[in-house]
Amino acid sequence: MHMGLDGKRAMVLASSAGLGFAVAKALAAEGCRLAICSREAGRIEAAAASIREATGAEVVPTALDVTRAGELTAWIDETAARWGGLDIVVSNSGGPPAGRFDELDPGDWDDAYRLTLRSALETVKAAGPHLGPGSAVVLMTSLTVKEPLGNLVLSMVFRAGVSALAKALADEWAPRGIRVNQLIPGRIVTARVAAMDERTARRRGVSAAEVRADQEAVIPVGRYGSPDEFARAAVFLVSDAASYITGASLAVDGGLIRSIT
Amino acid sequence: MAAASGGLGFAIARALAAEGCRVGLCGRDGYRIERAAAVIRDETGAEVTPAVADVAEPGATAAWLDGLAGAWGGLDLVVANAGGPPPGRFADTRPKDWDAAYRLTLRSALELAAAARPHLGAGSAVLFMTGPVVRQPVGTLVLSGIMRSGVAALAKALADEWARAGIRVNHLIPGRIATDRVAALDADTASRRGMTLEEARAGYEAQIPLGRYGTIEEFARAAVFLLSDAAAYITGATLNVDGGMIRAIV
Repeated sequence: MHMGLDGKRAMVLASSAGLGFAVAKALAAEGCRLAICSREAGRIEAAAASIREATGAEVVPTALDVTRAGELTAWIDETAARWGGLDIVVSNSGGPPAGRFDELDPGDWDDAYRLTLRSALETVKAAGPHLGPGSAVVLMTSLTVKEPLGNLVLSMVFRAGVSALAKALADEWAPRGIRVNQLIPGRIVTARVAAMDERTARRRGVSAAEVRADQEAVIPVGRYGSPDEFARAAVFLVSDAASYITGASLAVDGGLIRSIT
Repeated sequence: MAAASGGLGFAIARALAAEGCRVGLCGRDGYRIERAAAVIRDETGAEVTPAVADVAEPGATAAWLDGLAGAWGGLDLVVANAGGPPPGRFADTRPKDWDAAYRLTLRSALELAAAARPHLGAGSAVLFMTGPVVRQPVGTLVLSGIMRSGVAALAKALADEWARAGIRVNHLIPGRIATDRVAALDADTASRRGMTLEEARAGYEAQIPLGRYGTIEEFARAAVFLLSDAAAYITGATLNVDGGMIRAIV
C-alpha cells in the first residue's frame, strides 16, 4: 500500500527509546526526515545514530525537557524553520507515576499535568502554525482513556485530557486539511512497561516474569506487543492511506481493552 | 468479501486484489457480481471468484464460504458486509421489519463468522463493518443502531474467543462514504425535510470536520491496513473512517 511519506518532515517526541523511538525509526524507513528529542543528550544522539544507520534518513536529535515550559516550542520552531515547515508530529511523553488517588498529593497532580497534558498542549500549540494541508498529528494516550485502572489515576485523568485535545483539534484543524488522531498502546514491550511490571512484582512479592505472565494471560492474543507493531499503526495513521481518518482513536493492544467500541 | 458488487465491499475487494490477494466475492445479483469481478480482474490481474449469494438468506453465506475454502484449501481474510436496514424511527417499524433487519444485518454477520471459523488459521484476520450508529444514536436509524451494535459486540467477542488461535478480528466504522447506500439515506433525509438531495448532502458535509464525504478507496485502505500483517498486534479494535464526523471522544 502506498504510504506517501517520502520526504515528509516529521517530529517525534520522547523518542530515545520505546514507542517514540520505534515510531521515529518506522517513519525514517518510509523516507521521512526526522527530528527527535528526549531529556538526555547522550541517549537521543545514540538513538539518532541508530536510526540513521538503519535507514539512511536525515535525523536531527535534540535534548530537551518537555516539562519545562517553552523548551518544546523552541525545538519545534527551530525545526520548522530549518525545514520550512512540518508535515508530521507525533506527540508522546512519559506517563505519570502510578498510584491511587489517596496516595497522591497536589505536587503529583501538577507534575503529571506538566509531563503528560501540558506537554501535548504545548506541542500542538507550537506545531499548529507550521502545519499545512495534508499534514497529520498523532497523539499517544493509553488504555486508561477507555477503561479505568485504579492504580493509574493520574494517567487516567491527564491522558483523558489528551484524548479530548485530539478530538478538539481534529475538529478545529480539519478545515485546514490537518488530520489529528489518537493511538492507544496496550502493553507494548518497553522500559516503561517493564518498570511497571517490576513495581507490581515488588508490591506483590513475586517475580517480574510472573507479573508479565499474569498480564499476558489477560491479553486476548496472549503476549505483549512489540514497539515495531505499534509503530506500524502510527505510520498508517500519518500516511496518505489514512486520508479520511481524523478524530479517530485506534487501540494497538492485542485485544486487551474491554470496551466494546 | 461479502456483498461486494458495489460500494464499500467492492472497493475493499479491489484494494485487496491490488495487494496481491486472491479474492472471492458474493452479491445477490449474478450480473452485477460478475461485472464487479471482471472490473477487478482487469484492473489488478488478480484471481477473482464471483458467486451469487444473498447474505440475508440462511445458509447462503455458509455454502459460499465452504465452496471457496474447499477450492483454496482454507481462507486467510474474511470481510463481512451487508446492507443496512431501511431508515425509520422505532414507531415506524413493525415486527416483520425487526426480523428482516436481523436477518440482513446481524444474522448475516453471525453466519459469516460461524461459517468462516473452521477455514481460518493462525495469521488470518476478519473484519466487520458497522456504522456511526454504534457510537452515537441517529433517531431515524433505530434498527440499524440495534443490529449494528450487535455486530460490534460480535466483533469484540470473536476477538477474544479466536485470539489464541491467532485470528485477529477488528471493526471498521465508515462515516459518510460516497456510496449508493449513503445517497439513498440522503434521499430519505431530503424527502423527510422537504429539501433537495444536494441540500441534504451539503447539510451532512457541514457536519463533517473534513467537509466532504469520503471515497470508497479511502475506506478500503483502512480495511487493507487492519487485515494486513502491519496490524499484527491489533485485534478487538474499532476504527472510524469518517472524516472526524463521530462526536464520541474515544
